[in-house]
Amino acid sequence: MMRLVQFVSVVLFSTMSFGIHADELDIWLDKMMHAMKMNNYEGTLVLRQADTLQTLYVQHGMDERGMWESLESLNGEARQVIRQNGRVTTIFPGRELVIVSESSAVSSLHPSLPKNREVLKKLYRMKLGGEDRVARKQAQILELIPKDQYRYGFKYWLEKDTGLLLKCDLLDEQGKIVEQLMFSDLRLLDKSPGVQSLPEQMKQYRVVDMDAGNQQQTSSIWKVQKLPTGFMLTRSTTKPARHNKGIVHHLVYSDGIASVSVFVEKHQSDEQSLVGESSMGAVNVYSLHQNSDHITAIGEVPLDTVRMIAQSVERVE
Amino acid sequence: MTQRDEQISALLDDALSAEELNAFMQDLKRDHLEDAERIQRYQLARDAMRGELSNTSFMDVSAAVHRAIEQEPELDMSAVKISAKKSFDFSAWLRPITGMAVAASVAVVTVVAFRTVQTEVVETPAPAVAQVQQRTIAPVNPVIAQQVRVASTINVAQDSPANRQQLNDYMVKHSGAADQSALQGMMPYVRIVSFESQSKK
Repeated sequence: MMRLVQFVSVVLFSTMSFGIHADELDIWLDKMMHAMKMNNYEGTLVLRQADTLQTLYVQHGMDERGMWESLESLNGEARQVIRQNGRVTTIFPGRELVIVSESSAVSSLHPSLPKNREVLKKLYRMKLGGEDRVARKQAQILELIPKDQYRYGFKYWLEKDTGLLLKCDLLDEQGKIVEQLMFSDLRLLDKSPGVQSLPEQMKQYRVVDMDAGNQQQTSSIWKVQKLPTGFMLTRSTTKPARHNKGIVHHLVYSDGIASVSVFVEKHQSDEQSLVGESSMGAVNVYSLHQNSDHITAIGEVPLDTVRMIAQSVERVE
Repeated sequence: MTQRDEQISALLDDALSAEELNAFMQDLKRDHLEDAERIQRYQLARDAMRGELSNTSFMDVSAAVHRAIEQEPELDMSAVKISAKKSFDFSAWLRPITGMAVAASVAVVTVVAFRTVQTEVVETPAPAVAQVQQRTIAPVNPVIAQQVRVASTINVAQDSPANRQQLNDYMVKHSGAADQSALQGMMPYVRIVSFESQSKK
């Protein structure tokens, strides 16, 4: 009888603990998503990809005019990305170039995907880790471990009070870090640091509008036949190519955290002949020719995943 | 050798523990530029000593050029400008800087190393499949390498302005999409700002 009581107690405790843990996970995910958009802060961000280190100065603000964010490289070529309510301006002072694009020009087909925890929990095992200290702030560790080899794992360090992302590791199947992002210095601000206007001399720079021409959500004639479990089509657009006179089909698939873009356009010439694989930190690319079309899959997933996706693209007219 | 030098040397040898790595990155804010240059110098030296100076050595010319320009107001800017214009179009994935740039008192050697990734052709009878030329990688003289203050070597899949532009267009478009559809926040844009490329074999 005593053993039965002990057994029931253990089961009940485990169930309760798991319940509390699961709720806590959801609370931390909510805090993180909220904090990434709503907080005002500035600081120095370090990005480590393989054996390269980059440092960036980051400012983020939210006020009645909406969200504003600036990312500026502190070493290497001078570059700055300014995001304001979905408008993305990338400035290359050394090249006297400004690139403008709209991240929210087309709404997502599945806007609630990141919030769909039940789907995420089928793809990633989530667990709360211990505590740590990053950028002089106490952090709670949250881990998302993929249940298959088609996506990377994530380890988040979240500021204890606000849930702000202080550090993030992307991990491969063996648990090895493929990309690491971390604030080395972070100051939470009471109010938005304020929208920066383009310095006067930059107004003379050449401006390239990435969204020039019509871009619209379309029912694509292209389809990926082999997708990792949980990846859903979140965007399908067609627009004129900027680098040639053709049309680019852009499909985006996401599992709620990782995403892969597929670009299909007519093969123009041998000069435009990117074939095979490339990578940049956690971002992998695979390109191939298929008859007269050129197909490229790009995403922050393992190389095998972009290769599988690119090789399974088919026309479905 | 300072403590920082030892740390960087250990970093490149993968000999830093998790705690030490954490401490190292925390300290980066003191002088990002100097640390970045030190890391690149150490890496170059290490590769040279191991006889591995090739297309995978990572270096960056721009920080030294910028410093040289800052310190040399009477510097002949035209050479630098021309160099920038030549590599103008989307150097993020690959920054093919050809030749040599000498900026006043700071000699900056720019090493170019292209690597061609395998060209896999999938079920295509198409005549348009590219024949990618293998580029010969010029070995770097270790003596010269020691004089290299900072240089730039980027691995390239297939180098052509059209490919570069295409890949960067894709990256920018993907970042906008990733931001929208995934729980990633600023991360896609951090990658844009930090563009560097490594091709895989």
